[in-house]
Amino acid sequence: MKNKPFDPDQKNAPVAKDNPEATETKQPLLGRVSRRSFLSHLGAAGIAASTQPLMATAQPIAAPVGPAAEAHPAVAGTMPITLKVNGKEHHLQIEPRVTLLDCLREDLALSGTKKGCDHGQCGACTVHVNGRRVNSCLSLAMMHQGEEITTIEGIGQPGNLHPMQAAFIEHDGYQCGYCTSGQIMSAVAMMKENVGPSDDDVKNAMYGNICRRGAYPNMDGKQIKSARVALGGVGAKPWRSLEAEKALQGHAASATLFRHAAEEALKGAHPQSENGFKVELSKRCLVRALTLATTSA
Amino acid sequence: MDFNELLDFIGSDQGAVAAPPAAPPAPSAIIGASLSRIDGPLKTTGSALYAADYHLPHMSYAMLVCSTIANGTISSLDASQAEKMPGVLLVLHHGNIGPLFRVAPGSRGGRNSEARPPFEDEKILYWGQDVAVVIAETFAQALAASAAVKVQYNAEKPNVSTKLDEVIPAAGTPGGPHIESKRGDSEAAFSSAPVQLDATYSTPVETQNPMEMHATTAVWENGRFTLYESSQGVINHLNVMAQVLGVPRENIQVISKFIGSGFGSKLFPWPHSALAAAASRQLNRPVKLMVPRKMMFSNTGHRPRTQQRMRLGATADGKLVSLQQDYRNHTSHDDDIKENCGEATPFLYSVANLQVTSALMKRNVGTPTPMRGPGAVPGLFAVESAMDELAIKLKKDPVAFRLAHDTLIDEEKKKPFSSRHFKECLEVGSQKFGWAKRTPEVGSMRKGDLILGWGVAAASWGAGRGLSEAAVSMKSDGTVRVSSGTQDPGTGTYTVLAQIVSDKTAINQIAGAVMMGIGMGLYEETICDPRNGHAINDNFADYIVATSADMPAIDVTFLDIPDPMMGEYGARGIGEICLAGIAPAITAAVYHATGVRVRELPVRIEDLLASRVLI
Repeated sequence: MKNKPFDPDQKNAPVAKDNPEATETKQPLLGRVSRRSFLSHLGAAGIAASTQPLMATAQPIAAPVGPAAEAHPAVAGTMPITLKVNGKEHHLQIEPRVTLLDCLREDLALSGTKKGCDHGQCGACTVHVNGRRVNSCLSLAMMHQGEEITTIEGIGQPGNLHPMQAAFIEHDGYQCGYCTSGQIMSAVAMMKENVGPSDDDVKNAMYGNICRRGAYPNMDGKQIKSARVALGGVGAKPWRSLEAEKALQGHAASATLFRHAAEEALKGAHPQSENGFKVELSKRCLVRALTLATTSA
Repeated sequence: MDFNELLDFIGSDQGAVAAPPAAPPAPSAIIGASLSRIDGPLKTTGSALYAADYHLPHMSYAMLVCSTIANGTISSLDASQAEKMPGVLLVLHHGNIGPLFRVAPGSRGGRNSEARPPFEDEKILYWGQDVAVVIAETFAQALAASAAVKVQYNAEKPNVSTKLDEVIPAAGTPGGPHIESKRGDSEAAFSSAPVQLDATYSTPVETQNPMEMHATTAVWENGRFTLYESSQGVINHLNVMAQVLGVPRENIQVISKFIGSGFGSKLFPWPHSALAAAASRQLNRPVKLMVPRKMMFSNTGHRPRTQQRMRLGATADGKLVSLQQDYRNHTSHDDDIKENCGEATPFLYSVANLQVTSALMKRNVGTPTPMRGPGAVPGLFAVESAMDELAIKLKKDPVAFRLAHDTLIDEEKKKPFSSRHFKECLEVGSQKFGWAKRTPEVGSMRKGDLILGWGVAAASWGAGRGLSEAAVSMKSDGTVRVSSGTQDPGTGTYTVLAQIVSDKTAINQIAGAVMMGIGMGLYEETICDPRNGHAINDNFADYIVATSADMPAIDVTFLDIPDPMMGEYGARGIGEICLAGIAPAITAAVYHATGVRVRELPVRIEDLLASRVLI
């Protein structure tokens, strides 16, 4: 494997040292700040207080930032950063507000990572940071200095395919191809997560990657299973929501947890929770929960 | 777009007349073989290039500024602050865009989405209408500056009502509904029928939401445009842009190597394409413009809302004697777009008296555009729901009731079908599903603590052929090059050009459409705020599409009967029909389980609270 294995104890994962508020909780969820933990631990007032100084430091810049930026000297409003992407170090001058996604696509010309919503809702921009999947549109490039970033280009290339890429081709697990980079990045990372062995476990673990063409039937069960065989079989522990919290990140984790929360809430609050409407009810509650989470951001 | 318009579009898109093949080709081991698609290694490694994936020297980035009202006029637009912001190169708006032209009406020269070019006047007709575009050195700079363009409006009350109930003159009179299909005397046959069904069905605004956001990378160089587009119709795009930009056709090249789906929303150009091109001409630099997901809920098309009154009459022993479908759909103020809901109605069932009428209701919404299975998909929701309701009224099995009204001729055109296997479809489907085990009483089927509902719906779809042209050449290294002016929206065009599409790709297509049908039945609806016309659920968290966790077991069976009338290989088109029928089958199943008939999509949990089925 090209990536570091997933480390459930987070021994190697960096704690969010640039965010003192987050460490005060003494519960470093996932070892670093995720969107959800960030929001739930800080609250809206905290966000306003901590982001204001950052915005105020933005200064006009005098030179374009583009693929040629690696050759440019420092310019006002930009910061020098070193990103390690697919094993190669890049020295860049970028604005602090540039997302990891835009940095990869526009500054490093790695356009295999796709922009599908820019809001962390679709999964098309999924990349690996230290072996874990993240939505690169929800992450600022400057937060990832010194970390191992892997994009779809680093997973395998035409003629040198990763087993997961080969499995997607063999099982026709794609149509237009636009969500495919993110699907594969999620699937590869999931192999090291304790998501459980069944097709349903895989469905839940891949929930955060939307395919509008609905190519899921060829994307989830048998296909990923065949890649699992090729990779020696991993992720075989039974899936539980707490395991998932550790293992999953971003939208996928939020969705799964909210769904469970909704189901649990329904059991107590709604007399019909045990009947055939349960799944539909929880789906609707998930929608409401996600809406609340999004609008409260 | 109705079917004839579609054929016109296909014809115009291919640009030239092709001679028929001199002799049928010999059978091939490649055709229909279960090959993996040849674009797999590119699409699975991130190497396939989509419209916004190109990297060009001196690239600049554009961000749209969109109206925050749905009806009124711009009273002032102040770009001075934005123009002073870091990296900003240009802010274009009504005052400085320069001439952009309308496409000549009625010509075969191309179809634009909106008749009015961007920034032509200061009238606002829908929320999200483009009012300015900011071009800067980086995406982040353009995004920041777009928020600094100050626009003030004289706002008037918008009409985004979902009730399409305006009183209009009678059918066939000026200003009244247009008669789309007619045979016999449906009105008289309905009034005298002993068993009647009179019900109104509604389908909501759905937004196509291809995963790839609409995008244009425009390059102006030596008096010529190169447009990297996400387009489902590259030749149409070229024809339209030549007219809008006022340059000869030969001075534009449209490149669309891969598109991240379109579902109809990328058939015709949207205003952002002309804006990116105009900006690149003014700046003499490449301009990359992506339409944000949020804006795709307003200004790159949608399936319009429909409201369909169905009146069906039958004899007491269950013979359908009259079928009337009076449908309305909303459209934008400047463009009359009919959602052709009656497309499949005249030829789906045998019935002596039939009438279909249509009417348009103007709303302050962006211009609708075809969405996967345009017309017939919402139309069949109404027709098939009504057939189900009538079957239940007659105490007939829904499958048997449909089979009893099968027809082998199109009773409207009095012509046989090139191919119709409605009976086989329903029979094979029933057998595979175990339909004989279904008990018809509401709430009568249980599995543990679940109440089961089983529903059925049928669909029919016209098949069309357009003139097309492809060039095949064998190169000295023994490889063959096939070229054609078309595009691959995810359906496997590159593979199709190399072979006739296999079962593997076809099953993938159908299963994907079933997923979209689940979305249509249970989740999808774009909701406009009545105060300002803003699509309030303009993102993937609030506009729910089916995901992997929603995926049921899907069993796709093909009858595998070729249609030799359609072409030498007997191949069929499947991309559109496979979405038709899913939603009415779901609502029929919901009725069977709960006794609640949902006539307005999507099915909401609130709808089911009316259920009186005991747990």
